[in-house]
Amino acid sequence: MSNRPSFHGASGVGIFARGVRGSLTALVALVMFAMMMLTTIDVAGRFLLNAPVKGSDELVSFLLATLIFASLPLITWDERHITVRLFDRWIIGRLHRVLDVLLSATSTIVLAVVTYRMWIQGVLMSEGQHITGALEWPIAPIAYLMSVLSGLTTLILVGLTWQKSVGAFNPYSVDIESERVGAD
Amino acid sequence: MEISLIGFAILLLLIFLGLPLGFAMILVGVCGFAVLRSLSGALAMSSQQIIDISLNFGFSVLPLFVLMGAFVNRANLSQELYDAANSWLGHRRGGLAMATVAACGGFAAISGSSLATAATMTKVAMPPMRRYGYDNGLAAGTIAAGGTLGILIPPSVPMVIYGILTETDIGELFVAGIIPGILLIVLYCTSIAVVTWIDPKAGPKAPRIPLNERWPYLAKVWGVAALFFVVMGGIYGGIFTPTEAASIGAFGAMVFVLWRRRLTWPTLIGSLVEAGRTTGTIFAVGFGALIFSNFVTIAGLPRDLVGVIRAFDLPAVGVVLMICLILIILGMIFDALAMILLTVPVFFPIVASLGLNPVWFGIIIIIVVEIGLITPPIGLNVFVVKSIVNDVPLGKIFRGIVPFFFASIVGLLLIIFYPPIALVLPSMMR
Repeated sequence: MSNRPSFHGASGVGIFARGVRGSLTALVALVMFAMMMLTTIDVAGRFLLNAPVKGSDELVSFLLATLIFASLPLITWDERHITVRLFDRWIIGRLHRVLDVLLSATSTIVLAVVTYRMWIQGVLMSEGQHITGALEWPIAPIAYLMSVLSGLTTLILVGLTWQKSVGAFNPYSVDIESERVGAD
Repeated sequence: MEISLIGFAILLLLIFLGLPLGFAMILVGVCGFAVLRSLSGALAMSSQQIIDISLNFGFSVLPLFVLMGAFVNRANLSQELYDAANSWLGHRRGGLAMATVAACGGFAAISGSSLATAATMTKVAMPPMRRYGYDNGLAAGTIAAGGTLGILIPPSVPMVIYGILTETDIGELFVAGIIPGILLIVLYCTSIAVVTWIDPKAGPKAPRIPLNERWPYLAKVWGVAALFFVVMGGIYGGIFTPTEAASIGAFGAMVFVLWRRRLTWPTLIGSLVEAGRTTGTIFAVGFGALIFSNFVTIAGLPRDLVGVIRAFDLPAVGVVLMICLILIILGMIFDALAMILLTVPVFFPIVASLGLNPVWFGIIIIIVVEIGLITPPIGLNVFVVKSIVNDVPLGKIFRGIVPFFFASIVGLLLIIFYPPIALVLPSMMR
């Protein structure tokens, strides 16, 4: 899927990285499939058997949160976040690379803070014993899961930032061109 | 108001430098909120927002419609659509280009993405237009412009996002897009007719196909028609909620791919992962947009803007025209998603305060976004076409776009000054 599984070098790290990628990709596919099937079965059950799936809305919303946060590390890894690089053409050479490092570091800090605060919200939900309406499932675990996956994304950003800072001070390294992706 | 404008300026600087849109909006939103209230409040607000949005059942409509599109792309329906349109239109002057627009419209009826529509139609429509000696600019421009129909003719991912942001009924938005979509098809075909009337060499006629041979071509597109009628008919008749329609649509599209013997494991996994990743990309920006709009709201920007506009005492239509002008300029730089997420929270309160119809405004926003997809310097649809037909210079495609740009403006003005074009169908729902 991606042609730049960035953490090359040590093969142990490479294998681990491929494993993480593969697991996340499988998780995304599985969750997306489950979401489609669950909603379809719910509709079919309601029309054909007059028996909708109990609490399917809550299950779907849990799946949605998992889907979003499981895809986040992959998108970040491939640098497929939506960006609008207007000033790109005027910033060239070494300055460009230094800027890349700074931007990557900024993203890392933003996400690290978000990760930490989501964990705290999870703790608060756990203490407040927040549960869903129909299935009465606790909400805290899903908040923890979101925080963990967001933490993984932060780690990937740390890796990318490191790699870029090495590139920034290595005159022979190849410039990494990030691609834009439009979801429209 | 000052602080929100400073916030906007910093945000624009960060994203133009290349900070991903989502991260930039979270950063500026949290910092701005912290300045106005407190840092701990800002952090609690933002993390709770992210969790709430992710767990909101209503938003599941988005990945499901994206998934439907992902399956549809792999079902390879574009060739049949093109053949059907071509058999009826190809023998006219500029007919192959008109057929391209019509086929884009057909593809748009089952796909919610302009980029996907442009990409798939480039592969199908460009070779025959080249074979018959069409002007490359006209050919590529037609596909880029026709592709924008993907988000106006339902289903439409940007409409879903607009609906979520403004709490407007997604079903009504979808239904409202149908007649404007047909209107734009007609306007695009008209501009092709004008261009080829001025310069007949730009779009020579293809051989005429006898009438009795045309029907079989049309019959081949039954799959597209069936999918569209189940999804849109279900929404229109109030049988399905948009989320249910989306899952039926995704499931139906998967069955369709299966039936066409194109469903391999890589196809299935590829579609699912593509839909998941697109969803993640959208939500990453969505988190930022909601946090940023929280900041802008407590800073009083929408309220102050409403005050400014009241002070000018412009008629409602004048306000809408002004908003459109601003959005068309922004659209030259921003892509569809960024535009909607960034500007709708600011402009929608103004429109609401004037008592204007949110469905009508939604359609206007979508058409303006479509224009943004084909205007330089950053017109993503043009880039998509260019990436497939590499030998046509970018400047030539943008020149080929010009007639379609004016056609879109005409369509936009017609809908602004005569709202029933958008509103007559939703008013008859249920």
